[in-house]
Amino acid sequence: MIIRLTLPSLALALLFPVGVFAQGSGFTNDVVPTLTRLGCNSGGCHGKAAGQNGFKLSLFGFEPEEDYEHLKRDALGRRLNLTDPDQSLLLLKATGSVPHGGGALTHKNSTYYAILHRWISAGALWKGDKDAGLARIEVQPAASTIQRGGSQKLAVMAYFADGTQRDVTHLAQFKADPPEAISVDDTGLASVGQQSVSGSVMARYQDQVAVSRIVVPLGAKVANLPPARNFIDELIFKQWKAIGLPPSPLCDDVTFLRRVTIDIAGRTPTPEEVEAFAKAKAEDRHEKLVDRLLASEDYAYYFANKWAAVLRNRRNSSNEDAKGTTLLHKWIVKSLHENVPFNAFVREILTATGEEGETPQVVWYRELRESSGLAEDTAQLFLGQRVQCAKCHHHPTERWSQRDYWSLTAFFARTDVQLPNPKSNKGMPKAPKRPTVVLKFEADPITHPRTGETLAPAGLGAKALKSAEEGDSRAVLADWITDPKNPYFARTLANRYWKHFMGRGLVEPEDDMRATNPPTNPELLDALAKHFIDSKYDLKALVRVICLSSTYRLSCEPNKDNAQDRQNYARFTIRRLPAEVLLDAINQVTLAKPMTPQSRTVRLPDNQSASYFLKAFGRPEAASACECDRSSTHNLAQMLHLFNSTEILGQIGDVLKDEPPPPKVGKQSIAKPAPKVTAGARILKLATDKRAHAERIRELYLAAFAREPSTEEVANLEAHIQQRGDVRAAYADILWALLNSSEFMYNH
Amino acid sequence: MISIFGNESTRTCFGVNRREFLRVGGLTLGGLTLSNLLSSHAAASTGASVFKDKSVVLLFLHGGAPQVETFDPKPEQRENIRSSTGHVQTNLPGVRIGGTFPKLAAMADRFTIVRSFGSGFGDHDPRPVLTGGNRLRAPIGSLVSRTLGNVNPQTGLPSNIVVVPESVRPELVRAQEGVGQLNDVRTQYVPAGNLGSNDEAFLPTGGRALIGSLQLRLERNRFEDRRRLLAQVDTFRRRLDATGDLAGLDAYQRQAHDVLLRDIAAAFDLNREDQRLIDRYDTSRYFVMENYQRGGPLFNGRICQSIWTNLLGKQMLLARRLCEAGSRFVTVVDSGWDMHGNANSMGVPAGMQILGPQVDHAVAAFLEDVHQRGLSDKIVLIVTSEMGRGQRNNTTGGSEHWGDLTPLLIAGGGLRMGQVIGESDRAGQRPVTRRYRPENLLTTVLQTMFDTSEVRVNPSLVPAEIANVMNNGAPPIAELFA
Repeated sequence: MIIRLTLPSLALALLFPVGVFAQGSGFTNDVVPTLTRLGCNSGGCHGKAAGQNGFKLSLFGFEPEEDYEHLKRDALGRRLNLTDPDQSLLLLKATGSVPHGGGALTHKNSTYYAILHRWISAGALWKGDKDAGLARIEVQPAASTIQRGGSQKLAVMAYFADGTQRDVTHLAQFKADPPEAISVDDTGLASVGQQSVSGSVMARYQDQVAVSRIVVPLGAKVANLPPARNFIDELIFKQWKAIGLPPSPLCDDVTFLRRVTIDIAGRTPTPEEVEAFAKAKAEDRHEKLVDRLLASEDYAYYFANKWAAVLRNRRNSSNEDAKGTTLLHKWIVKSLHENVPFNAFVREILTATGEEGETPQVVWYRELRESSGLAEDTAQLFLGQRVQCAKCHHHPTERWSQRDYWSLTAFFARTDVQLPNPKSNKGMPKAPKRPTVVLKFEADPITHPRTGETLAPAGLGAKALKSAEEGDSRAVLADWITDPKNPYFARTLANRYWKHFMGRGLVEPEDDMRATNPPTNPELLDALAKHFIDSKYDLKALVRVICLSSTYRLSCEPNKDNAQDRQNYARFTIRRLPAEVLLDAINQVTLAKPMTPQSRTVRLPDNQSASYFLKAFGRPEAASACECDRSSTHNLAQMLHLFNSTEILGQIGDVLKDEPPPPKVGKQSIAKPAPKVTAGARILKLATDKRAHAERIRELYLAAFAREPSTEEVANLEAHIQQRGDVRAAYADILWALLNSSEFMYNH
Repeated sequence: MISIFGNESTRTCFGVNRREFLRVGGLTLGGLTLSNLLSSHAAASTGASVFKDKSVVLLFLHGGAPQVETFDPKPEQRENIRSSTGHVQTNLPGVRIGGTFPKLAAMADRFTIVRSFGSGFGDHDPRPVLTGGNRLRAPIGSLVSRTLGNVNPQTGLPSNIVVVPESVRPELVRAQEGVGQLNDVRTQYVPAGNLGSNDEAFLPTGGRALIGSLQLRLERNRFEDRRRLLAQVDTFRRRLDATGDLAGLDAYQRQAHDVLLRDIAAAFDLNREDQRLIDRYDTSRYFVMENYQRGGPLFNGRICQSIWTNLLGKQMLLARRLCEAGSRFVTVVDSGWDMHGNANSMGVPAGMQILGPQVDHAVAAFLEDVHQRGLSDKIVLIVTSEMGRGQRNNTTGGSEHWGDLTPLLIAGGGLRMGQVIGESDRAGQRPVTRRYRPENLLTTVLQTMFDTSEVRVNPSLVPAEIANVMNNGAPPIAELFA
């Protein structure tokens, strides 16, 4: 009989060390991973809750004990034939020798067949000598540089509790990211295309995951680096040199002024600030500027706006929530203004007890209510871990299991969120007047949903507390989270702030710091986290070090090599102004309402003011812990609004025909006629100003673009005014064009 | 010059296109005004000659609607296999559908059910179904937009629109968790894959303010002058051309321009419909959605319920209005169809009792309305989901994700109606007849909307990347064309 050796099995035989075939097979370490690799236990096949045609496996093999039972004992033991292993139903089905809904998944000459066969021959034991518990896995090499169009072979090493290690490449599963630039096959061979990119390949074996970072260099010459001002520059420059990615030059001073004023203070600079900074000559003018902005209330309000959204500081339909919402916002502003260390800030939120009038952090509890929601938000906000999936099952690309999820939830087991709504408290003791958090006399038992075991509180990946009974275990949670040794806390905050200023997180999205989503520059993330811890969680110090780096000060304009860079900060990443900042900036140009610090949209405590503008431009609803709740992309509604809404056109001074009244048809009369919009002060001033047009245009440019116009720009606009004849109409045109320009709409 | 705005140049990066725009727009060559050029932008979309003048409404039940409970109820099977909500006899002999769909049962001759359709995918991502796996990773709506232009050249309506509950109730605020919330819609339904911002779907959520901004408030000439002035003022944009950083802004400003030169506001205004018709579509009486939202008495920590809405009827009415006004692909999203019977979602029986009747009512009202207007052949309705569900668990009533079978109902468009296509196994878990996949659905839609056989002979009738998709597709669902 001729043995047909198919190409894949030949490849396997060549690629995997002979040792693999010589060893015995363990159930947990070989058989289950084989079933995973062949797809038997996937959610679409035997892994689903009800199993498939009477054969059930645990999803992705996360529960080997159950799998053993199902294989060994169910179906009257027909699945395994210990005397004639080749006749085992398991093997007959897997090879398609008997009808199998899933088809033939492997063949008799494969490694996988051999693994299953060996295990059955050896008596199909639950605990074989190859079944030491898995401690962790590694993908080797952990990082590699692959030239464009090249490839790299990856190996997966498993480390076991008994100190042994093994190559499990043939049993692992791989996934490449980003998939359009990097591909990986079953043997662990990673191949890249022509695009320069930093990415990764994830490997999974049993319940462990690990990644190998892959950099595909550009290979251009890197010369003319700006001065390295701090550790950020050193680590970023190192990366540019490694990749061969030359940076753009530094931006000019007024561009820096606009950029940093928007990023720290959430507003565009005033014309006076622009003029003063343009004249400044002092060596330390940038430092002075950053310090001045950080000391201003604008900084506190802008970052309060950011934190309030992810802390769910929102008013729901009723106005009853207003008091707490306002107070929480006030507390955030004050904490940021006084630069309360971030660990203390977080602790106050996590351990809040009492009534929202006295302890406004209770608002966070008011919005989340359940212990599981509190645990989920805690993980995402402060640890960068999205644990939601683990509520119901172990997630294939995450480390966290149901045990981790519910153990984290157990920290909130004594937290009782009492709400004033009498309807939801029927038959209960009298409800408080305002939302209140109290500690229950006894903790609700938190049990593992599958095993029923009662779980004690435990941080993610940390040891469980001995007992949940004594005191407020939330304090212990706060201790664990804010411990300098916590692997997630400082890195998550550093990454969140890095993204705020640099436009892209070292990890993207910024609050998804799972093990399988590695940073593009791990050394830098570590260094930022260390800086943050060493500074005793000083937020302003972190902002300062980022904003004063040369990296932050690069021009956004490309050179011939870096136009496509999105990952390595070789030029400044431009971004649309956030909704609130843009609205305030428009007001600063049109002067539609008096410009005082208090009148700024950025200072609103919550989502209460219903504004179509803010909605269209993506203000978050504060209904999620995710920064992604804020949208910073464009859409048609925004453009229609800026081009053509009564609100904008009215402000810039267009005289509009009356808007057609809303149709009367229908019972629900939906809308009052739109309010009349009066022209802003700017257009009135421009139209009556006696100064030369060049002067007026200069003032407009300072207000809108925070820079002087060029002589050519002045000449063009003078020509436009001339051509239009009607001065007021001409300036309305100009205002319209400025507001719709990318230079205005973006931080650059 | 017209080709500047045709597909030839949109196929290159936006930067090139825009530079051309500036050059020509600024100079007004040989009497060719900016206005001529801009309006020809819309008209020059090349796919018009093979377009069969049909629109598609895709109702997407996001979360994984159970195939057995909807259109394949398995009444003869044992308890945990057959539909937990029972079944109803349709007006077609021998054809029965799920027990929560009596109104649809009475008009089964107006649609066709496919019982051998599977998304082939078992997670909460609609894109495998929306794209049919095409290499551009673009949802069908975006392919249609690329073929016909992102704005209807006759009426100015955006070609590709996604209708969410917020489209008919702008003040609605739902949780940002749960399967198919607004942020999922923004990231999964709206983007156009490799086709880029130009062919992204329009997501109307702004109510009166949006409608107001759709009516051009300036004199047309003045508006066009301003566009020219903007191009001149925005020197920054030119300096970033090579990066593509401003491609989104460019694309949307051009689309806004095209839209504003038409009066399309009325299409988005449901209040222009007869109140009796609005009432006929209305589904708000089927359940009180506030009860299930965070803080409502029935919320119970199950986040999948927190995004349920009872607004599907009005969403379907808006979809019909938009099609009538010239939109070509309207995706209606109804969310929260995950039914695991666990801490995050209800089991199947409870979930279906609440969500099923709303779909029954809304779809029946839609089909009746379209029929009365004589538009049945012009509008195709597709009802599906990102996957189906596995067998129910006896204790929890929940069931897991299941990609082998997915509910699929198709109505109108001149396709053959009143059929049941395909058959599933006894457990309602796998097809026993030829299996249909999203790629077959993609071809079916393209073949319904376009003369694809003409494109085979003459690929230049549509943009090259579209011809590539059309000419390398899977077979259609053949029975619909028989």
